Amino acid sequence: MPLKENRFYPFAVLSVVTGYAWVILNLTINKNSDLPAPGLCIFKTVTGIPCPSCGSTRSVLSIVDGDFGQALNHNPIGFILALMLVILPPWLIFDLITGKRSMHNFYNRAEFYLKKKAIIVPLIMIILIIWIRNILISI
Amino acid sequence: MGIWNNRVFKCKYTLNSNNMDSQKVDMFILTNGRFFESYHLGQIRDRLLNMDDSKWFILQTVQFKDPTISLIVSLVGGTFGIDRFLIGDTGLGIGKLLTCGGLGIWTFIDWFLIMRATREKNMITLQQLLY
Repeated sequence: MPLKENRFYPFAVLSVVTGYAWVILNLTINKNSDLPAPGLCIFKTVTGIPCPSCGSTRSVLSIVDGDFGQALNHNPIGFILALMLVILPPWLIFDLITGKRSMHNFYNRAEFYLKKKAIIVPLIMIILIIWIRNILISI
Repeated sequence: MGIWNNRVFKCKYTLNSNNMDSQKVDMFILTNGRFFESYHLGQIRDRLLNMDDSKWFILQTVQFKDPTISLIVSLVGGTFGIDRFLIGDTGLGIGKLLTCGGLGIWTFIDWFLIMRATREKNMITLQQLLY
């Protein structure tokens, strides 16, 4: 079911801003002190087992440094998130200026396809594989 | 005069037979009220009273999602976005899954929002039937 337009754009802007804030926070912490990077994963804190997307912050930071091999080693999901962080701000600004709703339309279409079994099942399988790998190497 | 009365009677009769019985509507509200926001109930009742009686059976077979269940799922599997998948927000579910529950913040916020979101999804399901 589609997310309403008046909620979609504030949500998208908030997500992008939070994403950038998180990356910048981690970058400054990594460069300015020897403190361990802060972890926010509730699942990992509670159970001690990493979740499917644990390591994606490190992965994005590696991409910022240009070390793609290391990024892949941390978590492949980092590439998707980094891509989102690059693509979404210009797209949002484009929609804001032109008044088009292209991003919202794209989201609705993507959601429509995501509900098809032929797409969602392989996707979940990939995420499961990433998760098992995360647990095995205890990232 | 008699013929005129007869016509009126016939007209009233057909109108009543097509519309849904208020007893049935109240029964529906009683059994399914917890699946909707309280401020929607009045609107649902009005709409159902004007609805064709033949839709009653379809209305009975519609499955609504329980807000309490989605809260439990949100508490347990919120980090993986399973709560959002459950109520049909596949896009948001994927978003939540890939970002570790929106850095944990989104997971936390959804513990409070998911029940209302479920009720609104139920309203959308019902609206598809009603309109």
